[in-house]
Amino acid sequence: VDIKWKLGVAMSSDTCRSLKYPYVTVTLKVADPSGQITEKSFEMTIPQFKNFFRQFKEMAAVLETV
Amino acid sequence: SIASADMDLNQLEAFLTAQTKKQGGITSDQAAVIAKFWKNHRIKIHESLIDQSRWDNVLKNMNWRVDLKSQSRHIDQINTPVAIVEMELGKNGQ
Repeated sequence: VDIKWKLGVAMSSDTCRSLKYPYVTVTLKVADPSGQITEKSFEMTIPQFKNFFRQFKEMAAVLETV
Repeated sequence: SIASADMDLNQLEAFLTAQTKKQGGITSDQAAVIAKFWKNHRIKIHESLIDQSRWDNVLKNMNWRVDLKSQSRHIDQINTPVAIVEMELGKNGQ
């Protein structure tokens, strides 16, 4: 139903003072068959996000050709 | 201290030199060993520390397929390609 994303950089944590870790957070609003809406959130590292993006690019390409 | 600050080679050298000059500090041989260890393992150690900071859901797996409806109750939905995506979310490391 809806998709939100943000790109963040974790600067510091309790285990590491200089983390400097970039990540992407995505939140999906999903409607199940009954119409009930749930929100799902997840975090990806940049390499994981690149793979995520690549999968959708492939899907888009297939959707074009069908 | 070295891992927490994710020291680069300049910072490392300055830090270790300061440690060798301290009372009850390390020897220059020990400094050399520590420097070598950090140079070899810095990336892995940093990645491990990053891993410890990821406690929300992560994307564990993703599958997809594209369907084409050949029959439907609603005529306008026929021959519309649809992408169906399955995402597996879970806690890091589980």
